[in-house]
Amino acid sequence: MLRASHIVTIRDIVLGLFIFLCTSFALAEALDWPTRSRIFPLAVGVPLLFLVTSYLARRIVALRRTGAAEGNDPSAKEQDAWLVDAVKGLRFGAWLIAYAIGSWLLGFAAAAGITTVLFLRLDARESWKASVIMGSALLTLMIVLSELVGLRLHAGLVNW
Amino acid sequence: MIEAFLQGLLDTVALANLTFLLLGVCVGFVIGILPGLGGPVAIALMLPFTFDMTAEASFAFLLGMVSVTATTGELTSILLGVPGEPTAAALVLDGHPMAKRGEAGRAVGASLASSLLGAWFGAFVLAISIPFVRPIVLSFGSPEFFMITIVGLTFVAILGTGNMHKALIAGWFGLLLGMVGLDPQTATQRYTFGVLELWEGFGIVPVAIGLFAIPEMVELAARGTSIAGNATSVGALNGLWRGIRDTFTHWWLVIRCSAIGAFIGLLPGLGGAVAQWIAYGHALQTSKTPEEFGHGSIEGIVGPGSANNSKEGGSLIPTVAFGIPGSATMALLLGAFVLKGLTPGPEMLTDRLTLTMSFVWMIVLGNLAAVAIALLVARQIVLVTKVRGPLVLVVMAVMVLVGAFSARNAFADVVVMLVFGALGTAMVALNWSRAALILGLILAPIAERYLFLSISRYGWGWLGRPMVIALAVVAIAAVVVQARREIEGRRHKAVENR
Repeated sequence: MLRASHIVTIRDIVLGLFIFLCTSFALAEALDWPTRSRIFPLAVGVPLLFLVTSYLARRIVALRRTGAAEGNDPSAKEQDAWLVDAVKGLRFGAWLIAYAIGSWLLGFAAAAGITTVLFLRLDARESWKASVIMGSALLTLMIVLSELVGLRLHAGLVNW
Repeated sequence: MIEAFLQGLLDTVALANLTFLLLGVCVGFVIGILPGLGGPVAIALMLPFTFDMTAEASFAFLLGMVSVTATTGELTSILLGVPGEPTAAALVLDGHPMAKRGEAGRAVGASLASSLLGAWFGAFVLAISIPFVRPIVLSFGSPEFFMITIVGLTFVAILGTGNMHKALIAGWFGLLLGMVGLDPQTATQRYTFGVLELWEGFGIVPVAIGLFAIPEMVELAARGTSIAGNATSVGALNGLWRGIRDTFTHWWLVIRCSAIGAFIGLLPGLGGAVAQWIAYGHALQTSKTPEEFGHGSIEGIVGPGSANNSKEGGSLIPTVAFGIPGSATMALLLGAFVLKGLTPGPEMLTDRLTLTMSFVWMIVLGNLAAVAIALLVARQIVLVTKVRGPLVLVVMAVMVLVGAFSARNAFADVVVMLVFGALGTAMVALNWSRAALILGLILAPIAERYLFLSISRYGWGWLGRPMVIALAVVAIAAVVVQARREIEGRRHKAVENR
């Protein structure tokens, strides 16, 4: 059974591995370029590969030896709280992505109004009144920014 | 010279010019608060409106705007965790934690006071340096500029606050990410994957917003409370004055960081985003309580706050004296010179010296007006931290998406912001240094350009130049000091645990 501290260390290793893979890919790509183009990427990538490899090695050794994470081992209750927070955070991230997609399809103004109302009503459980007021306010702000201030905002793929 | 200095003051406070100055401050106040819409965007939007103005009125309006955007960008960094400008990202690290524990007023007070003092320092440097600026700027060649980027990079290690290894990895990873785009030497596409929008690399604005604002928004969404949470906030006004007093308590830090900001601003091409991080690293390294940095240290606000504003005065020096813009904002300000039929260079230091001196007063009075306005509305501004979380989140979501898009009018930047937002959230959760990553990203193209120029021009002989050696010693000393600090800290901890 994995201890909570193991999980913290594993997450750290995953991020380190991500950086390791990006660096390895970057170095492999750089080898195909002209000499002048690859000098700086190699000068940066090789030391970076060394740094991240040594870091991963340290973390893996620490995981096998004691499983000790930096700081104290979180209790089961703290782990549960972390999971709840993580789910809420991921849910908000999904809303943000939906807002971005909506902006791309419908334009910033419309997406601001619609996504705001939906998020406040469905996720934050705010009242209809508060949701509609905020949605209208942000829609108005977008219109002011684009029409009066002259900011060029993405109009969306849908022709309103 | 003194006559020109006094005449510049009289010209600045003339009714018409003063009116335009205050108008510029008001416009800059609003624009500075919106992320992604900082000094450069403000000037780009407002420049056409200055066609019919006199030279003095035009610069009063534009400099009034520029003076204040740096300050107001810091307010959103503190209150919302959203950098109003990329140059205000450092204030998220300590300002926002202070807001979360109910000390928003104190953080805002310190930010305003340090910004004002930093701006005045930068204006003072502009005023006194005009006779001396030419030999200073001309003595710095590409080797010295390269070494300054190295010094900036070594602060990566210091910004790690306790884990230099992770900070170095983050910083060097930032360097790698900074190479995305067209190679400036050979125009080879590097890591663009055929995406046209990546030819210019990652925009600093979407990266800054993604790395610093998105994680704060995710955390706010997870907490479900207001920004200040359940913290019993100090009364806004009391907190404000305490923050202002804190700035004067750390007066020596203000002077040192203002000097750093003015110096960085003076050097063309380095960009304002560097000044805040070097000042932050310096404040951390010289602090008696470095463990507080990243968790709400007042020095973490005072240092970068003063550097952020002093750099504007510094960046005016090469702009006015040589027509070499010290920053993106100054590059656009050169457009105003052209519109008014002015030629940066000797003319500005001789025939138009009065106008040049009036720039000094415009920065002084513009910042004073900005701080006065901010203090007037400070109580209302601080109340933002008490608003329900979801209501703040929807406003922030609009701000970050518009901010990321508006920087280059490219929807790809919104995608970049979201990707770096995911990375930033992971880094915060796992205690990796975002500051180091963004500093590496900013410095990569600068370092590469100056390295190639140095080698092309001097071979490897540039390594023996005196200033290069001096800067190398500074960089090595910074790493050694930090390494010793970490080793001693670990030893202390091991003794306590026994």
